[in-house]
Amino acid sequence: MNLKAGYFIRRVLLLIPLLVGLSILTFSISRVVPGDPVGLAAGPQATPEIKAALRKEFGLDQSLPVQYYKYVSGLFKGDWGQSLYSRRDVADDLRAFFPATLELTLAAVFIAAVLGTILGVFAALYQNRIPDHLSRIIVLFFVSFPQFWLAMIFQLIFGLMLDWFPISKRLDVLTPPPERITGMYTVDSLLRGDLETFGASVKHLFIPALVLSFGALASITRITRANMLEALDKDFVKMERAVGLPEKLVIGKYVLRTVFIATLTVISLEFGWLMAGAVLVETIFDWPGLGLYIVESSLRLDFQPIMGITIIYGIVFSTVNIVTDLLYGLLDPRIRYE
Amino acid sequence: MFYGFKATSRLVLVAIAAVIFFAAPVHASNILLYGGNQDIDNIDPATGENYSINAALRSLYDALFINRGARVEPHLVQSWEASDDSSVWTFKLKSGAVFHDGSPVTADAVVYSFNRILEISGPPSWRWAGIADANTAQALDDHTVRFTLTQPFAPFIGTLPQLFVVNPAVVEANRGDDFGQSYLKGTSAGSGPFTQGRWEIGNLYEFKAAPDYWAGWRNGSHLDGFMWIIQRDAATQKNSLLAGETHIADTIAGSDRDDVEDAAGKVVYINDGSMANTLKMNNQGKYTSDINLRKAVAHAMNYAALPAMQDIPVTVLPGPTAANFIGYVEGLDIPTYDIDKAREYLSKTPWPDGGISLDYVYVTDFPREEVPGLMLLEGLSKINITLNMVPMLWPDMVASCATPETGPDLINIYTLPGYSDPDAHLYNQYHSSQWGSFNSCSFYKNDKVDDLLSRARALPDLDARLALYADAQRQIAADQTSVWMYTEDAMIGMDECVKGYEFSPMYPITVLFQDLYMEGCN
Repeated sequence: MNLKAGYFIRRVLLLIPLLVGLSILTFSISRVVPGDPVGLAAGPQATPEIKAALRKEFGLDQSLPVQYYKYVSGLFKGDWGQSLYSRRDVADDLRAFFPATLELTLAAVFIAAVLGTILGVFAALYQNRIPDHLSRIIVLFFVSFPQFWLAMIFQLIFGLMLDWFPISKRLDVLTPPPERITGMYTVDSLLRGDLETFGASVKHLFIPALVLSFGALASITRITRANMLEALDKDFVKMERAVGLPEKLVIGKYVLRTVFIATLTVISLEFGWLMAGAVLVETIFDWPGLGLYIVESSLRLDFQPIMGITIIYGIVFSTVNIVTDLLYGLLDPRIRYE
Repeated sequence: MFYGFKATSRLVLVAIAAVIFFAAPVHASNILLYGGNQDIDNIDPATGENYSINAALRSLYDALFINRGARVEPHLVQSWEASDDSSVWTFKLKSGAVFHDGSPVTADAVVYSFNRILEISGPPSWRWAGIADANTAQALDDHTVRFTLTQPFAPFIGTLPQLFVVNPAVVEANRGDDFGQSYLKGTSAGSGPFTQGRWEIGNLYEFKAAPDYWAGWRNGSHLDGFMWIIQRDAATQKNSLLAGETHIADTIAGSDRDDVEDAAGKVVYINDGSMANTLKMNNQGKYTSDINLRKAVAHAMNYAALPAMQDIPVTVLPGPTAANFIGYVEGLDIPTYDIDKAREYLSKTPWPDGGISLDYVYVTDFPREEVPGLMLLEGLSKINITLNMVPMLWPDMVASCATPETGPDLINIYTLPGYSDPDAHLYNQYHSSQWGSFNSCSFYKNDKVDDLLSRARALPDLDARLALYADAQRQIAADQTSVWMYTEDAMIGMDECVKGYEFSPMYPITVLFQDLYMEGCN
């Protein structure tokens, strides 16, 4: 077993205690906060008998350790529990909502990475000149406005006034989604060879992802610019320029590669934030993702969805960190995994 | 990255961009696209109940009666009779009603559906709590069903639009260990005008017109189907309606009303709603148990300013019952905004100079509940009473209404009658047996009112019942149990090509899809 594989397995194994801790913490917090989710689910006219029946049906009349034990043992059987409010299986909900948010977040991160890197590189190459100032202004503009406001304005301009993009949803409502493989419409339509649906799903995805990407654009641009400036001052760059390597090669191949390690760190951090913060964009564009599910479940103190979401997010955050660590090694061969 | 794209790569990118940009939306002429503010969480008639679920249930299932407009009309029922004391109800069912699998809708199926609701004891069962048990429903023959209630209950027919009849054979085949709940929450087993099509959780739900629907279509023409498209944001609903992506938007913000009305081919229907906003005062609370203090509080609210302060059209309540709802009593002695009177009532309390503070509980980040609180805060400050604005999450508010000890001084609550009868909202809010439910958070107890409300349920004669309800409301108003604020007007935006819409106070922000049809829609 090489060092990289060993490192990877250790990191994956560390996920287990992390998820156990996370589940205990979330379970305890959600159960001890005040509130009567049963009363809420039973409806405003519910009699005490109706509430008691609901409490019993969901096992909420049992002690907390018993409830936790049943929850965890259910997880091993693939049973993520049921929403108290909608009575749907949490596993079904997560299966429906998670790919939508993942697709939106991946697209947003991609846009933010590309735009942020381009703006950052230009800002560094033209330090304290017009492109640098322009880059700063653009980034400041988009990061300063609230995301929900930008979402509504973009929807109004590009959807309603110009009619270039749809107002909402992942696909036209009368177009059936591609047969499920990953649950991400762009990926599934491509894998199925359905270019028409692919085109339609990208068209639906573009504006929501663009708006969401603004949240990460500033930090990626600024970190790229700063590291680019530092790298441009390094001896190896001076040497490459001195021996007459074309500027495209110096920047595109050597400088960017060193700069991108720091950018990658920011991207991995932003990925989590974007995913967790997608709720407003999802709401405005009716993007049926996890964002709204999280908010509604939390507001209703709907125990099982809260648990399921927490575990999924724990897995996603950890996976992103592990993948980022592995990517460091690809970008910089000097990095060793021990 | 941005260096050196080859010409062919550029060409491919341009081609992909063209495919994306020119991907045209799909249109179908007779499928109605409905922008709904809420998800359809669950379509089990025994466990699901809210406005979106009810819209789905009324489309997928049939019930003995149906709410159409402000009327309750027989649907599966051909004829019926009730005993003199309103405790025994016998219904003759129409012949020819069939489930979607072709099997007949029988009296046995009605009994099965009713008992299933009672046994599961889910949210819809509150209507029959205390008046029915497992022996109540009986099939006398294939088409006759009898309900022998455990106590007389005159408004029984009003509750029956919520008794959706399930196909027992389908439920039994999928019974599992939860009486078919796991199956029915996502799959229908009914006989209604529509069947299920695409069912995308949290996104959209397709309903297809049932071929040869047994009851026929009221207006001759009918939809081939409809899509319930979840659109949570009012601005998105408006934009989709204006862009022609939907035909109906069920949540139009007050500020968007003019935009929709000004758009060619769009219309906004505005009707007096029955969703009432009431400020419950804890009648057992430390301060608010004092009737004079309650009257002082009620006189400190600027009712006339409420319509201007809210972001949607509202109508000020004239008492416990809205003017458009059955049982409304004209000329009740209801307080107006009058600080002098507020001061006068305060002087009769143990705190004649004020100096006390009351909690006002409302839903966090919900301006429609916060605004009246701020108005009251201003009024009460003039009589030296401090109002603490206490935002709470909804589950916490529900929990606080469990007992008089945990009940807040004042709490802002929305109520919607569950059926078209004064009993639907008066009994639940003002009968002391209902303490512990969210709607009865004023913890009001008056033996005379309890007696009137109990007797009114049992009388068969409507006029006699209304007289009792009027007496009860006079007493409730005299006791100033609550501050009655307003009902929200119902606004629904539509394309003018949608025909057959009729406002129903029971379902103020949605439609009866089976009565709709489209003429000249794109």
